[in-house]
Amino acid sequence: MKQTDPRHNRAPLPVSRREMLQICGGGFGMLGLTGLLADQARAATNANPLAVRSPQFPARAKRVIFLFMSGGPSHVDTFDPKPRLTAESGKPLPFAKPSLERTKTGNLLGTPFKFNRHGQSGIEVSELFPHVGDCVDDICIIRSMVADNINHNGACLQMNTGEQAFSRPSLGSWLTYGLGTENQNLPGFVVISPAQPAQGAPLWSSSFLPAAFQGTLVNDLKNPIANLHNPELDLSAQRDQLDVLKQLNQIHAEQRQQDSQLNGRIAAFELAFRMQTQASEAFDVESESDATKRLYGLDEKPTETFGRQCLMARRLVERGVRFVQVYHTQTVKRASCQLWDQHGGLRTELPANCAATDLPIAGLIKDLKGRGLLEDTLVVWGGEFGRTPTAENADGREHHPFGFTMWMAGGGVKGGQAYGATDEFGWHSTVNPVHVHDLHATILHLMGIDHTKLTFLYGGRNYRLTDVYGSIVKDLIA
Amino acid sequence: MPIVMRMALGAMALTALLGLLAAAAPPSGRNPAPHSRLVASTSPGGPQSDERYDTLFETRVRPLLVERCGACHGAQQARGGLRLDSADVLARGGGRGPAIVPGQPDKSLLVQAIRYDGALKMPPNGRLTPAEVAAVADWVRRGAHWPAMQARATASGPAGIAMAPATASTPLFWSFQPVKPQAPPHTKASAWVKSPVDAFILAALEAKGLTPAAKADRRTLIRRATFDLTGLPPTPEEVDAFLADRSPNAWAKVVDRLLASPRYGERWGRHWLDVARYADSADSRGLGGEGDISEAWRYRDWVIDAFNRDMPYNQFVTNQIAGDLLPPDDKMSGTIATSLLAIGNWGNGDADKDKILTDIADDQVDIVSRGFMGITIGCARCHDHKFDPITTKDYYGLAGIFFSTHILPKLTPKGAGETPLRVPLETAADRQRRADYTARLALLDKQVTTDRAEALKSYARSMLPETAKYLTAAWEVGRLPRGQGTTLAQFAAARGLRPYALRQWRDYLSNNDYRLMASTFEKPMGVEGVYGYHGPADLPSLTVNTNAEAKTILTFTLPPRSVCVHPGPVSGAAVGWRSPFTGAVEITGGVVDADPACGNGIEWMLDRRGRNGPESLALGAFENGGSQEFAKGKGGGSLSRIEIREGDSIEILVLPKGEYSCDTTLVNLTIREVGGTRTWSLAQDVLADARRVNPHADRYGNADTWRFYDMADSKRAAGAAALDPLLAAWRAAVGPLDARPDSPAGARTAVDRAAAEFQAKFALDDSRSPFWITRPEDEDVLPATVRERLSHEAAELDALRKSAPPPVIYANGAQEGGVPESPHAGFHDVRIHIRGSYARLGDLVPRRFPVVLAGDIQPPITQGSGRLELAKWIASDTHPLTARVMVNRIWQHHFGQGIVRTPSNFGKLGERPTNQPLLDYLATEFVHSGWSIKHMHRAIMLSATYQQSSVAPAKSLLVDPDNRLFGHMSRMRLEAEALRDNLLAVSGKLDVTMGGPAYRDFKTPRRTLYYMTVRSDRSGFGPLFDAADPTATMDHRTNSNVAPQALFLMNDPFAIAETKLIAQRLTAAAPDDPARIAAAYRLLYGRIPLPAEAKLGLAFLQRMRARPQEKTVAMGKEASGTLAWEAYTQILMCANEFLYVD
Repeated sequence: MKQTDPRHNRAPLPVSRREMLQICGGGFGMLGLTGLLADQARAATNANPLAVRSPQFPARAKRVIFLFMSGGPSHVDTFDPKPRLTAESGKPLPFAKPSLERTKTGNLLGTPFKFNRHGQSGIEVSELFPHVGDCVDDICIIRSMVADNINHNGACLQMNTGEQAFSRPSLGSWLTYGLGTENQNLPGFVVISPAQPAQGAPLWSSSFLPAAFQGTLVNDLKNPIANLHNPELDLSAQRDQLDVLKQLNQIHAEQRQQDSQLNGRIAAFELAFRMQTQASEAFDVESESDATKRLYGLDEKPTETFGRQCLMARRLVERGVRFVQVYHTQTVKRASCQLWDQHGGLRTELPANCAATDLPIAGLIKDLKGRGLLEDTLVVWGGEFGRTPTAENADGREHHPFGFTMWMAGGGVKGGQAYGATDEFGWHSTVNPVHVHDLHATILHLMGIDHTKLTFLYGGRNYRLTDVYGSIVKDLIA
Repeated sequence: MPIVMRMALGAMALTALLGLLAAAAPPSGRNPAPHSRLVASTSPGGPQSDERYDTLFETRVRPLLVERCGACHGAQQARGGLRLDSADVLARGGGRGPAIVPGQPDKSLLVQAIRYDGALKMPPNGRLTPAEVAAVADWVRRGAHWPAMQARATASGPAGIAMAPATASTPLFWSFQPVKPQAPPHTKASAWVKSPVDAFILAALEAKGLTPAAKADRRTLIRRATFDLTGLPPTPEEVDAFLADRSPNAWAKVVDRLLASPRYGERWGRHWLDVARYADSADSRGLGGEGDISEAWRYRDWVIDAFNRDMPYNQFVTNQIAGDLLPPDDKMSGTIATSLLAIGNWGNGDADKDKILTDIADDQVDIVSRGFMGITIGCARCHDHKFDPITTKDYYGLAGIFFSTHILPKLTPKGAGETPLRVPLETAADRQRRADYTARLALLDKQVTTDRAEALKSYARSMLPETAKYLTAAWEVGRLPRGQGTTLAQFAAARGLRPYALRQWRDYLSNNDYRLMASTFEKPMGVEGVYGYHGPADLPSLTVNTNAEAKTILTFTLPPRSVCVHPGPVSGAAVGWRSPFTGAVEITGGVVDADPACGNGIEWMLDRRGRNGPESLALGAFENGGSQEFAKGKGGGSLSRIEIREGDSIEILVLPKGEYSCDTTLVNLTIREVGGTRTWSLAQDVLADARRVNPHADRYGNADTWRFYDMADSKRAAGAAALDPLLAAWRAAVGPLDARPDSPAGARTAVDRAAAEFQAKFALDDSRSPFWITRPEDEDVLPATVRERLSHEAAELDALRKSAPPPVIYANGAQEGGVPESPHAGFHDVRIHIRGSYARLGDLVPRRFPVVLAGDIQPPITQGSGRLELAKWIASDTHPLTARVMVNRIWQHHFGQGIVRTPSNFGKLGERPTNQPLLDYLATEFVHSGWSIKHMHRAIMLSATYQQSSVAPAKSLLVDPDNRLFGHMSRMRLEAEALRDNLLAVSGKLDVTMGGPAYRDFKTPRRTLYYMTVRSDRSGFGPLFDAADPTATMDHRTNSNVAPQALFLMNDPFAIAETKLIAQRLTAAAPDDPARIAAAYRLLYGRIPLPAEAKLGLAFLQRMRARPQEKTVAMGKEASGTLAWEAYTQILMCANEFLYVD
């Protein structure tokens, strides 16, 4: 069959997302893995590891966008107002110095920023996040997060894999392992980060899970997926190649017994051929309307990069990608793996980071909502830890895993609430602490997975994302 | 005494649990699922399985009761009459009644107390976390099942559960039992049996009513064997030779030839490197440096060499655990072998140093136990192993050995990364030779330096009478109107002066004590559009990023379209602007720390340098991550109008404040002509023509306007700008003349007089003198005899340098004793870390081996760490696991699956052997052969079993679909390395250079196992094709089949380049398409094409030639035979036959 080059004959966007998914996912059966025997599961994994698998129970969320502010965003300057901290700024920490400290703990440092009430819920959000503040009724702020590691590396690993030191599969890998992905023409787990994020690949590694569940890193926003174009052969010539390839493979197979691996490889080439046109389309942020681009701040220099990342994330989840992680690693001024690491520059760098992300994040939430996607898309915001309410130097804060803030929106989350609390100074998580493991358990739960039952046998033991920990935080769920 | 109690409980529970599990495990049928995804859920609220139930108790409840309650409510002390150390005493309760009501947490006193919601609040010294409370409540709600109690009850005999008594007579789990020598069993179809291996295989098949597969044909066999042993395809000539060899031992000859090939060690070494979690770099960017495992490649080469030499496996084992402790003649390689312990993956750079030490020991316990013994001891770090008879005592007995070993030279300060130990590898004699050489070199070097200095000094002294002449000439040169074309050299020639001396006098007069950065560089680390300058050392430097986006090089990031300076650790860098006019300027701009992650902030100074040397206009300093405008600095208020004379300079000095490593400072400097139209911007001028050498022109055509300086050795930074008094006097004398450039003759006399006065007092003859020759090329002014002597000495020194002994090589190995100066320094036992936490220590455990394997009575380890004893024990002929585990790994790589299908787990959660007699036979044979791996290859490959076809008899597919009985050969996909090597081999480009540091350029045509593996980088070719993830030990590669792999073969530049080479080879090999197709099949698949295949090929070539090729036409290439053949070759390369070996 003759196929035209889509560059000359661009197909109009399918009418609905559902329809498009059907088109894209065609030819791949839905597999509920729960009922399969292990060996069949393994065979299926080899044949098409990303085939859709039904969740264990009805899911509130079908996909996740995790906005990762690496470096550790300060909670007391953004989402966790602490009037007493401000009142006692400059005084010593009113309780015993922590036993584990990176540098000498300084005196209390009140936030230089104002907090304003937003929305019907009236939740206070820092002036640094005016647009996100406008969305607060859709957001569930968790002010009582707890993590275990005081360094970026360990903490980033824990936030992404549950483990601080050793190689473990990441959250996105577990999700794609458990659920597959809805669009077979795209990777199931995409990481968008224009500069190298802290720690690199271990944060999206599949570790001992099959490699197909590893995150695909997009760092070049203009050329997101490798090897999508042949420099010399056009699509019709490649089509001819694939037809001959298929026939040769059939001759090869006829002399042998049925082998799912051999058949799987034929399918993989067909899929690759389709990806050549469709993956480019999925990442093509430029095809969005001007209004949408403005919504994400693509028209303004400070917000352009992160806006592009967020818009790309929306395009991907819209097309059925299971898990998209968006790392904030580049501003107009600089690229860094730890943009939010304000040991200094609290009064300059932090506002710059917020300015670069505020509008795009709000744009993402509004856009998802407007498209009806927010109800089953879980948006998660946060970093690997927060920052000390005490000062480091004159204008900075240290790392702080003992009490910090993250938030979630959409995907079955109860918006318009601030859950849990730190003490009056923002140091310890005192009311309803939510550990990283609990957050993971809750995310899995929202995706229709019991975190204690998504396991993989490795090295003599059934591993889970939450190891032997984790409780679902029911109060976060609508 | 909570710890003692916990151990006692643990042991009881464990024995019972083991019994239960052993009884529950089927004798040989279905084994535990190797992968279980979403485990089928039980109905909500229904009873939980015992295992799940006990897991909750063992991992969450029991440790809590022991740690938080045990001290007051245990066997030693029972406050309030309550004990919480067994279910019956718990149920009985204390003075307040039963502590728990099973199934009803809300009514249970224990739960109420720990919830802190009644009068009774326990524990009194601090409440449990919500999660801990929930765990206890959950356990009570589910019935408060206490595994130890049930086990006791079970042992006393309820019907229905076959329970082995927990006594010494309990049969050990199969893998912990000694290897039993096996005689080959009797078989019916004995004609098929070629070797003992076959008897075991055939007996197992016959027991199921199966027959082996047919014998594979010779083409298939040689292709299989060649990939199997070397990871490369056979050449067409090798195939032909084997087909032609009709001798009875033709096959054995092929096997021996392949085993003798150096390619064999590369192939099988790589298999071991999977287990060894080998990486070339741990650094996230693969850049090496101090904190990295930069010597890891020596271990990789050691492994390859060990396989090629057929090092007995027991030595292979002992070397990797304790090679540094083996007799001296082996010491060199032995220490390299211990890199196995040093290249692990643990959280480097954690502020929590105790955690790092426990993580390192844990990594080592894990690699040694899983890698060599196929058991998972790691679980016992936190609790007694749930499934295998390994206790926390066993774990910390082993861990003590590794805590008494170090792979770090020391612990770094908090927050800093650890530097792995680099063990120098040299003998005492080497060391002595090196010391002698160093001494001789130093002596000669000193002599050469002294002689040269003496010669230069003497020359400088001889020039002193010329002082006045040079001084006045230099003064005049400085006053020459710019742009009139007289060069300094011409001026010198006209006066009969030495140009070098005149130049130096001119510089001396302007007191220019900074060095121009004379070296230029571009594309540092391959980054396009970046240019730079530096002085004699790499740093300080000045870097220009002409790209519109930020660029990261090594650790620093250059903002888009910027000029950045990078001072050295102690010395500054400066940018100077030399004024082409006299008037006033406005200075704006500032400096920005472009890399807040590094350094300690900076200091800056803005100077005006006139004829009287530099004077400060403004200065400032700021912390790391900050920035400052010049106007905001001290004195910055005056910058809107600065008077300047032609030839004067404005200089911005960027100085390290404290330590300045890996930092980048963005410099913005704009100078505007007050009352004029001209503006000079550093970034604009330099970016416009970044390649220009230093000094740099401006955009008005003035050469020499921008100058970049290296401030090493400058006194300015120290604030010592004080002028030489002699020069000051000279300036005072000639100064007023400057105001009148058209000075009358009288003034000239004044100059001469001042010069004469200067000369009378000027007596410098050291390196400060402008007569001192600083550049080798200026030495031609020295007398010929002196030059000859100096050059002779220099040659002698040069020769000595060239005869230097080879540099010391280092290994990232292990050494005896805990990390020096750490709490673990020296040799000692360690305490149990309760729940794996170093902050909660339990009993001290003597260093020893796991009891289940080594018995209760072990000789104590009294000297050293115990590593040597451990190594010898693991490598002993009678160890039940070591030989079994390795023969299984060998079998696995020949057949795709092991006899035990979980090669690094021979424990209860691993699979049982599908043919234990065969496994034990092979293990026995292995030990008897002197642990020869090559012997095992022969024993396996010469069998009929190995030579079976991959096409299975129909019945086998039904009865044994997974081929657990090895009744046919399993088809295998080429691994990442073999796939790429195969491409390189058939394209004829493969470079078989062995060893050395890893290469970084993927295009390098060497074998793939030498390609850089960066632990934190999971992008690229290797991970795409399921190469081993180097973050953890790997016993089995996954085999994914995903579209990006296809995209790689279809479109990646490497794949396309290889395709072209193969196509060229084929088109050159034969004159026409049919012959070329035949050649292609011969080269790529080792066979003749079928007529149908040839027909498909011919038709495709025809279609391709007829096809209008838009892309290639656009590229100016003819869409001729070349492209058609390339496209066809690519099909063959993508086909299953290229990637799968039958």
